Amino acid sequence: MLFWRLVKGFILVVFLSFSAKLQAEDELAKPYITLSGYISDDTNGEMLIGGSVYVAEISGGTVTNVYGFYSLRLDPGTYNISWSYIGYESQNLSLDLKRDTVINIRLLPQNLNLEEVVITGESVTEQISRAQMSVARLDIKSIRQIPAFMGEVDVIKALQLLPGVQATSEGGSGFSVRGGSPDQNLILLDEALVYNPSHLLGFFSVFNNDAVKSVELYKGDIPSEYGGRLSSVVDVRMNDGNSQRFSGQGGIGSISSRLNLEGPIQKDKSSFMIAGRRTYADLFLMLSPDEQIRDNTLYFYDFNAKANYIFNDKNRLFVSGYFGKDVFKNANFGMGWGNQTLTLRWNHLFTSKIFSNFSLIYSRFNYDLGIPEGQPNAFEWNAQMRDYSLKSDFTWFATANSTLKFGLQSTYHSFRPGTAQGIGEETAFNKLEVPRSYAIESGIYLSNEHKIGTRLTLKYGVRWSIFNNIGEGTVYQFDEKYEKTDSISYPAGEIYQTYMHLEPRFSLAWKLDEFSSIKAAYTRNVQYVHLAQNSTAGTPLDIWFPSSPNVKPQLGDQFSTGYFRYFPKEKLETSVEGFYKLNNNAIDFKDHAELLLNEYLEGELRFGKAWSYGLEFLVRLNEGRLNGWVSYTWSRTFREIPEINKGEAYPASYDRPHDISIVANYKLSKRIDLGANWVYSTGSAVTFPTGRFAIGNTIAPVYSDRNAYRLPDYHRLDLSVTLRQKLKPNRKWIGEWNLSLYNAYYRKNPWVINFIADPEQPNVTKAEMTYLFGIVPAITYNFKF
Amino acid sequence: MSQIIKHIFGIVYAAVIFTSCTETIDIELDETYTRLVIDGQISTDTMAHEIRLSKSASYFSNTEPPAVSGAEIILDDDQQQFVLTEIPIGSGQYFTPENYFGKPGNTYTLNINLTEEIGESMNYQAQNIMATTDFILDSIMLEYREPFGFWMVTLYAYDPPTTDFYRLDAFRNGVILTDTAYRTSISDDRLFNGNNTNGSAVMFLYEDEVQLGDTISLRMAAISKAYYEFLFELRNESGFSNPLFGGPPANINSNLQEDGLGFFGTMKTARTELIITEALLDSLRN
Repeated sequence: MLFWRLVKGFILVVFLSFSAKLQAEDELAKPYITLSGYISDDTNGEMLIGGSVYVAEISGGTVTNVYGFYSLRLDPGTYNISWSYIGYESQNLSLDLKRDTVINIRLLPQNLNLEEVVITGESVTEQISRAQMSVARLDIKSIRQIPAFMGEVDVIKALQLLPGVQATSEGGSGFSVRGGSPDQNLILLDEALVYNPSHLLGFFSVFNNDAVKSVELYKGDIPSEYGGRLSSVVDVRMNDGNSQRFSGQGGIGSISSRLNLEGPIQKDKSSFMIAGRRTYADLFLMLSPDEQIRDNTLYFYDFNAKANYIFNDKNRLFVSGYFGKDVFKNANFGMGWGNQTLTLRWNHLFTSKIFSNFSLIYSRFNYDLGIPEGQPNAFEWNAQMRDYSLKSDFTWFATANSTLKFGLQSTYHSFRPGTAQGIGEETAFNKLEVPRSYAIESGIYLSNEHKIGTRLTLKYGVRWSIFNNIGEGTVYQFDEKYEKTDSISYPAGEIYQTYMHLEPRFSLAWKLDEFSSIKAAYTRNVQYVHLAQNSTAGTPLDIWFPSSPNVKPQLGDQFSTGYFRYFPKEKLETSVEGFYKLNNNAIDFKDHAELLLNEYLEGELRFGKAWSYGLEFLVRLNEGRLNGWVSYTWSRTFREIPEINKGEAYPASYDRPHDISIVANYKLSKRIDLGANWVYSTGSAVTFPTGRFAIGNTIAPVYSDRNAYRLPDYHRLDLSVTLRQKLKPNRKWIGEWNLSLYNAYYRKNPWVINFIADPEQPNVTKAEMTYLFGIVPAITYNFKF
Repeated sequence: MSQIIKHIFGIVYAAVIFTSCTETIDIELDETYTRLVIDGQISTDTMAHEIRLSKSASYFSNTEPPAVSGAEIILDDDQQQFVLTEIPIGSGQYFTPENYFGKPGNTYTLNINLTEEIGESMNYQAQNIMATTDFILDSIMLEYREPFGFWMVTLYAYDPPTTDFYRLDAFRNGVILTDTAYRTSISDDRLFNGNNTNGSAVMFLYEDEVQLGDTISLRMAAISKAYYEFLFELRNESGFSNPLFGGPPANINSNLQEDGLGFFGTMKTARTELIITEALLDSLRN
């Protein structure tokens, strides 16, 4: 612990002395000046992430960071500068800059204008020359236009439509990025890690669209400031809250309702946002003819809340939180689970060139279930995971060609994997407890985005990650048959295992011309916390477990390369990216693994390697009457684990070589929008029987090699129509009706195929397929004021 | 415990997925090579114990399992060796003498010599050590579960502090009710270890299986860990799966060496019974 304090202290000292030096330099005759500021939405004061600042004279510029801040170093002189953001009217100014200047820009959202909108290609040009690749940003406007399941617009379902991202199970929130397993995605909500981002077994995610500002998905080339997961980063940022006027939005739908209220606490200085929603799926259960089903209560609710305060132009404070819960219960059984997160952040500008952020983060996921007292076999079972983190990030806009980022993060993990006991006086059950464990996961990083000449941009950096298992803890020893032989207990505070890895992150972009470039990247990532999940869809009961003396961290290496081209006349963004990933110390589970409430969970694990490769094609139209994208991914993903499938390589269940998504939105008129999406993918890899034998009256299967068969291919069409109320000049209330149709041509996509004995005829077996959804219509009324 | 959880999850899953549907489909499957299958147990009861040999078949073969007849099965119980008798000839069912009984702690080994090759071998072996668990079976009671319409069998027994595994079967007037992997109850002792079971529910019986005048009996058997794992895997792999729970399908492990299927098990048994009188039925239903 002392070591950490020293490291932190050291960094702070180095950094403060630089900053002092730079301040000193500012006093002398300057050979350069800094232009900096924030870009925000004029109607509600929301800071815009990834907004573009383009300076014609240097044929370049920068983009705003996640707090809407930009900083650009220029020689003193006169410049034509343009600030822009997709979906907004850009602003252009001609300025004579002699000294450091702060310009905060407010942009107006574009009207529902059906004429051709003049788009400055500058923001796209910025993307073309930046060395960052394999990233997709989804803003809320495009997510809203996608036909939604049950009328619930969903961030994760939208991500599953992007190239390289596959849903692991129909309707679920689990997803695989570039062949990685579903626990390899770092999902952040305002910097807090969300362990289980799904409601209702995954049909909905925990992200309430009304509260979300933007979502960024990194599929590869993960920037050095992120660590802990191998395959992707999903960085979700909440709205700050309207700092101009009190406003709100919400919706009443067939399955849930939501309300978002936001407004200034002090105009332009501080604001708040609070959003909540609740489902009432259980009302539909009451319509079921089956009495057993009628008796159930099933719902989820969640809240997002945020407040921010701008002290002065150098200091801003943000507090954000999320609280959600899923409940399922009836007279005989009850179950609940949920995430809670809380983040406190302080943005501090040391100078106009050094932006920093300090965060304190708390995240918790827990569940409990049981049979209530008074019933036979009454018991309760609960588990929880908690994280406490400290994070500091610095961006130094050092020169016009170089931006340095560095920082450090440390998280204290507390795992309580499961405690079950009988309740009531007459209980016969002993208490079962899977031992608790604790760990500290830390990272220090340094990276530089470096522009060389007019064509080449390099991004290079390294993250040094450290993982410690800290007592109290119990470590079991296993023999070569994975039977537990012994156990060692460690007292509180003793560090009994340390893993350290260097994670180099490197990428480059070579600009071919104004609108096209080639990019390449190599990154190494390390994952220290893993999910014990061996089912394809996963449940909230799946627990996360840490690396330990028995479990090495998983290592991931990814090589990627791509060609990007923007067609300015057609406003078409196109790209093709190829990747190859290798995962060492990959974790899988033995045959017939028991993962629930198992103290000797580590004995169920098997280690080996996994690899995947593929090509992703994307054509995207962002503006205009018709917008959307077409993506096609061809990819394969395999594992090879001794003791599984006789040590031979097998495809992962979510290995789906072909994956196509077509998303389209068409503005039919000022008031009517049409939306459609069509998805197609090869069926999941499954294991089927190739023989049978009899034990008494039971027919038992003999199976093929693991995942040697395929489910039928999956495809589905969703449609939606949005009808907006007439806009009246003084009317604040804007309403719209949204009708959506999920699975419009009623494709029966198998969710699972079971092979069972026919209950009517002895000795006869048959195959049965279960599909989840027929056509599911939904109607929602959305409003805004 | 996990049985209870899985049963309940069946209901959760049904409730949530109220729009789902299941239908029969046609699937073409490959066929794997034939294997020898063993199904039989030696228990502490005095009776003719049965060992059945059959062959595996293609998944949709839809016939009785082909019997393996004429094999020489030698049973070795640490004290003596003798050959089992096939009765009737051609059935694939081999028996010990009627006065034979097993003893806890003994190692039972079967040596099987076939008349023709199966899976490239004519000789197979299976072995199991009978459990020595000192459990006490006191009695059972029935409880009627109103909304579901079935009977819960509740158990009063004592489990010693050793690591133990059990198999429980119910009989009605001497005829077995728990005749499939799904109905036979199996359990480890993590929840009761060293304690009385105090009337926990261990299995369910259908409403029409418990009638006035019946004798319902429970056979509780202590089994080895390997036999427990076999029964557990058999139940999982022969039942329904869904993507929410349980891992990928995997072959059921066998103790028939080499590359056989099925299990040769041993059981240390105890029995108790409940006679369904009018008075009993009245008290249970009120």
